[in-house]
Order: sequence, then C-alpha cells, then structure tokens
Amino acid sequence: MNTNRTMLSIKVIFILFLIALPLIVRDQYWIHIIDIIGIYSILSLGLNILVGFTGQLSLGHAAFFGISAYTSAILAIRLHFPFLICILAAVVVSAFFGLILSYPCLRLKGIYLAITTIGFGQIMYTVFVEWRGLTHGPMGLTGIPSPKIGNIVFDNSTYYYYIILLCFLLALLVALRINNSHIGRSMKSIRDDEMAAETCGVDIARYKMIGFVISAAFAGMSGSLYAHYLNFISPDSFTFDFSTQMLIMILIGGVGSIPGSVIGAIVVTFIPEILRDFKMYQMVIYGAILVLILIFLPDGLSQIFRNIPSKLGLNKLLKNTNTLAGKDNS
Amino acid sequence: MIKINTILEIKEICKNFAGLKALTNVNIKIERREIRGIIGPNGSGKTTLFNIMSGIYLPNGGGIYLNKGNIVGLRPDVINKRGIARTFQNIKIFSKMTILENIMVAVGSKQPVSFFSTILQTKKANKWENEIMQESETILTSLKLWDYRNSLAGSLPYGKQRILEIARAWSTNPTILLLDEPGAGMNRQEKKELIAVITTLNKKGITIVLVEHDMKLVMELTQQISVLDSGELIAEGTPREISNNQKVIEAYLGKEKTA
Repeated sequence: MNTNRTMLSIKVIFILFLIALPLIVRDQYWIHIIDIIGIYSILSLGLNILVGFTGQLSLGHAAFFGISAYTSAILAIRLHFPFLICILAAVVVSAFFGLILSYPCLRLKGIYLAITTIGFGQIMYTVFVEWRGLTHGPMGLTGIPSPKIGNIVFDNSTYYYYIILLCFLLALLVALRINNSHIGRSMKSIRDDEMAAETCGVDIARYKMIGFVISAAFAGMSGSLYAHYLNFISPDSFTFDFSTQMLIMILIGGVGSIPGSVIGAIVVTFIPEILRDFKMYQMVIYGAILVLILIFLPDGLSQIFRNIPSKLGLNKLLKNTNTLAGKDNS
Repeated sequence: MIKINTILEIKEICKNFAGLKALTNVNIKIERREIRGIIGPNGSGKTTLFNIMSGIYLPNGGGIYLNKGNIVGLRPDVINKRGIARTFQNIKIFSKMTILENIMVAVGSKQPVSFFSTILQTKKANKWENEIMQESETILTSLKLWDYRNSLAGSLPYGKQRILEIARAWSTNPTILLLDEPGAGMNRQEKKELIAVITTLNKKGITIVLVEHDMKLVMELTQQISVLDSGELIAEGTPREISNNQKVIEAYLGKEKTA
C-alpha cells in the first residue's frame, strides 16, 4: 500500500516537473532542444520495443519517420486537414507500412534481417527523392502548418512543447503497459530464445508483427510531430544515417530499457549541442564519448540508474513495479 | 489400431538430413500417464525425434498422432497448445528475464488477451494478468523456486535452471512432457531433486517422455523404454528387459569382433 502511494507520488512529481519544464528553462533555444529530445524519445521508445523487447534489429527506421512526416505534411498542405487528423493518419499509415515490412522479416534473423530493413529504408528514401509530384523531391516540402486549436497557434517552441509532452506521455504509457503485460513478456521471450518461446506456446509471428507495427506507429507519431514543428521536411532527414542514430540512442540509453530510451534521446541530442564550441572537433569528441559509454556501460546509461534505487534502499519499490499486478509479496 | 489409452502414437516417422538418415520408420506408442524412456547412443536420433514431436522439424514421412489427431505440420506453439511441452538438451531458458517472468510467459501464452484490451487495461486483461500471477506463484511455490522469483534466470545455478525449464514447460499445462536429457550435468543432490519433480508431475497425470543418458535415472523412473540406434527403433520393453537385451548391449558397446 505504502509502496503504491510512493510510486504514485513519484509519477505525479515527474509529470508536474515535465509540465513546469519550459517555465524553468525559459531560454527558447534550449526549449527547442528539449522539443527535439521529446520527439526523439517517442521514436526511440518505439524502436526499443522492436529491438530491445522483441530482439528484431531494424536499420531502416528512418523510413517510418519519413513516411509519417510526409503523410502528415501532405495532408495538411494539400487537403488542409487539421493537425489531429494528420497525426492520426500518419500513425496509421506508418503502422501499416510496419505491418507490410513485418511479413518478409518474420523468418529472417541477424544480418539478413538487417539488410532487409536497410533495403526498406533505402527504397523509401528513393521514393521521397524521386516522387517529385508528391514530395517535391530533394527540395522538400515547405509551409507545413503549425497545429492550431481554436485561436491558439502552436508555432513556438514553448507552446509546441506541450503537444510533444502529451504525445510523449501517451507513448510512455503504451510502452509501460506493453512492458508490464503478457505482450512485453512474450516479446522478450522471443528476444532471449525464439525456439524456446515457440515451444512454450508463444505465437512468435504475432508478437514480432506487433513489435514492428507498434514501433512503426511510434515513429509515425514522432514523424508527424517533427514535420509540424519544423514546418519543413526534406529527404535529407530520413537517411540511413538517421536510422543508425536512432540505434545509437537505444544503445547508449539501454537496449530494452524504457528509461534508457529517453536517456539515449537526451544524450544523442544534448552532447553535440554542448560540444558546439569545439567546432571541427565536435564530432570527434562526440564519437569518443559514445565509445567510452559503450565500453564502460555496455548495457547503456540506464545501468547507472538501475543501481541507484538499491543504494537508496528503494529495492522493494522497484521489485514491486517489476513483478507487475502491483502485488507486494514480501 | 490405437489402443484406448494410447495418448501419443509415433507412426512410421522418417527424417533425412541431406541424405543422412536420421530416423527410419520409427513406431512408438506412448500410454497415458506413463513415464517413457528413450535411450540410444549419441547420434541415434533421440533429439531429432523430440524436434519432430514438438514441431521444430518436419518429418520426411509418417505421422504423430496426439489423441488420434495428426500433429505433423503444425507450428510448435500450436502443438504446445494441443498439449505437448518440452525441454531442451542445452538449456533454453529466457536468461535475461526473471524466474517469475519465465513462468509467466508460459502461463500467459495459453490464452492471449487481445492487444487493445491489454493496452487499455480492460477488466478482462487485468483479470487475466492476475490469474497469470497467481498460477505462476503456485507453480514456483510447488517447485520451491518462489524464493528466487526476482533473480535473472541466467544467474541461477545449473541444476535450478534445469528445474526452471521443466517448470516452464509444465506451466503451459501439457498432457505430455518431453524431457531432453534433464539430468545432464547435474550432481547427485540435483538429480534427486529432479527425480522428485518428475515423479510429482507424473502423479499429477502428465505423461512423461524422457531422453536420458544416465541409465540409473532411466531405470529408476521409467516403466517402458524404447531404444534407438542409427535412427531405427531396435528394442522396446521394461527397464529390466532392455538391460538384458543383446541388441541394446551391442548398440552401446559395439559388436564383439571375431578374429
């Protein structure tokens, strides 16, 4: 009972902190960085469900991000659909592509899966560049409208922050519920040992498919947020480089860890910003930092945070959330 | 003819691997609630037979009839839902998950609730989660693994990992349990525990098929033994009959050469 109350207060404090964040930071530039972190967090949460939970490597995730950004942008520019419809459509379309990609990937493993997902990413990139009638090719799409609710136009970083926050909390809730349910457990069993999972009655095709669809849907949400935030998109944002950057986020944060997904997004966005003063050495130092993190914390930065509760004597609390159903058995 | 209390019939099963005959016309009938031993030298096809029975391999010919229904060609998870669960020669536990989660995966796979009711945490989904939790607790308690529930499965001592694997197979509520060398690498104390677990499960009405190299364990546990050699069934009978069977002795020790 006590632990439940503590958990609830931690959650409330966390949400209140996030709501108050723009008031604490104030500087528009840093709020902009936080917005980008929010968008990337949703993306890496989704990728972690596929890679970290289900154990299926995807090197073409930028494609989903791109598909949804274009879907949302085109619906808004050409058909003048309101933001809510655009983002919903982006999620659905992206999830649908996730479903399509999942079919050839069901029986693939390791390098073959990696190459298939790279192939998917490259195909979509080519479509973004070449289908000029729809995407304006390399010029990209400009004038994507900012979201509008009533008379409020969410056209600055602070206002937009709250839209991102809402979407982020929704994505976090879904990810947590997947993690703490039979879906998450079945996914992880596939990651740990596919053959054993199968013989335990786990329908591996079903859960792999759910992994692909959910992670594409998350990418869809963030892609749409991205398009309406920057008001401009071009194929350059959806390259193979960006797919690897997403993977770096979850590697740095912690593969299969929900807090890790967010930590990874923070690190990958923040560090290059902090290193801006180093100019031409910026990327060298950034790369070195990433390598050092992976050498000393192979399970990602979330490893550090995992050890903190035990040091503070909050073990019981953590176990309670881990064993779900909120049951305190000790 | 299938006898009234035959639960599983392996009929004319053949399996080739690129020309190598792993199994040739194997016929075995397993009675309800028995503990059946399957023995044979290395490479005789025991594990291949298990892989066919659990749906991992497709045989080149023959059928496997569970309660008279052929299960050949079904997916492993479907075969599991029909009532066959198994363990592996090289332990296959979900090593990065806790003991409790290992069991919960198996318990929960029986009747998966739809994705949306899980995300929306509907009454049905919550009820099912609670049931999974309770059933897993019962299973872990009865096998004395409850105290370890929050440790990662990979961190368990070897013998406990074996027991966990059996517990996980049991959690899927099988009528037949296939155990592939459960005693391999266990010390005497662990083997004692293993025998107790297998006997308990058998008393609960589960038919057990056991591939094992430790003859003492096989003799102690089984009522009937089938012997495979080079993919063929060479003998069947009670442990006593088998230990005196000339063909079996030859298969294990080789024929005496005449000068």
